Amino acid sequence: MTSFTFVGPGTDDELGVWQPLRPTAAPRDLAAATLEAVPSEGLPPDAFVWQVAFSADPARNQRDLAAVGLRLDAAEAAIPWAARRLDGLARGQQLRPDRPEAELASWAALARPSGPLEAWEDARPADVALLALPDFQAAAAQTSAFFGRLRESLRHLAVVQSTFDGLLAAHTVVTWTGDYRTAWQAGVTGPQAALHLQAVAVSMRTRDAWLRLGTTAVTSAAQLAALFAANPLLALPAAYRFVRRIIAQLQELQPLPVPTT
Amino acid sequence: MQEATTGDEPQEPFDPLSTLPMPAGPITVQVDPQGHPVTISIAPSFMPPMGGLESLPAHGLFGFGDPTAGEAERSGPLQAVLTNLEKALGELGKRVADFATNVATLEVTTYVSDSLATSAAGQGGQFPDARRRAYTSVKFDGDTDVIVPTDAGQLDEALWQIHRDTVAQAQAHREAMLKIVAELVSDLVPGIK
Repeated sequence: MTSFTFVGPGTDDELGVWQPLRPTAAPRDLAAATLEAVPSEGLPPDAFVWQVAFSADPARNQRDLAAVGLRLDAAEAAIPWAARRLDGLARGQQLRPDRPEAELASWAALARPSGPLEAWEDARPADVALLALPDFQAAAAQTSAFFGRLRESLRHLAVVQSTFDGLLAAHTVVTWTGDYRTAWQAGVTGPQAALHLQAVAVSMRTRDAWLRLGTTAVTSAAQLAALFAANPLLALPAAYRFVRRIIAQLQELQPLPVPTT
Repeated sequence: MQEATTGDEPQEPFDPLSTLPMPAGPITVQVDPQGHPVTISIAPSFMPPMGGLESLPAHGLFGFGDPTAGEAERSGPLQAVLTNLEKALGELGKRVADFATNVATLEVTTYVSDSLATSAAGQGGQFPDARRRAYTSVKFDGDTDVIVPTDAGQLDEALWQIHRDTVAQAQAHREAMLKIVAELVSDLVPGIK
């Protein structure tokens, strides 16, 4: 099976495509982590590394890439849809009877400042209950890791490596402005080159989707701030979690790719 | 100190907004890419009436500094979120400025190595130990420079096709980047729609 990995913060990928590789040590910056975590020496010191390990089975490689493409399609459609639903929530429209809306509403209720009588009986700040919720704590940690990863992916050159049956076949550096520098292993075949270019495309689509997810979470959190008046920053993990859940919902609905064998 | 009441005093009409603490207000991030300061402000869409300083919750803005809980327990998760958010937005501001400065030219370079695993890429993503075989530079005004790969005086058709496919993909990616940068500026910079 084709594996899609990157080296960076977090324990998962919001788009359900990549597996993060944790740095092997606690580095001062990701550049150091990259050099420690990735066995190949052929990496620039300022890299955010994406690795795609293809198998020796061409049909399986194509099938796995098709499946990843569908997941990205769903994620790209889900992000603006989530933004519209969050906009509706912020405008006080009637709640959809759906779990993401229900969870967000329950979190907002926990973060609502208490009235004068309740405040007299319970002098705790209004956001304590929400901050103590394990699901919210997890969402806050994921939000923090996500923005850390987004920053690293913007800060460093994108490096995409493809291996076939464990052998490094291609290595592409993509600058932020879109310049490509690719080193190919001598003797690489046309089909392998085509698969590597698809791997590069998947990496860049992922980075773009992360950017859209980040901006959607920030702008939606600003819209939702009034619902989390006790501490408007609480709206950011809530909005991030909401978008993730919509992505997951759409990905569950998509058809599986047709097997090629 | 709270005064004792009998419960018979005349009551003011209850105003739910009066129970709201002062909101944290806009989140502002300042970046200074290439000597051009840029400020990104994100303001809540709803700002209840501000009271005086006395209406500030005891735990202050964004929940930091709550005297009733440990600093790490109360501010830890949100402090990390805020820190990483500010850093990500700062980096984004730099990258948008870079993009605006360098978008005029697209370069695609193709190298070949006999031992890719040991062809170290250096700072900036160059491959000093690999052979540069093909190169394309496309400027916005249409000027194009091309180096084609040859083998014993003949065009290396296979590598040239791979290079052309890479150029096509880089151009498609550049178009996608233009679109996404426009979206980001529209979404994050107030007044631009």
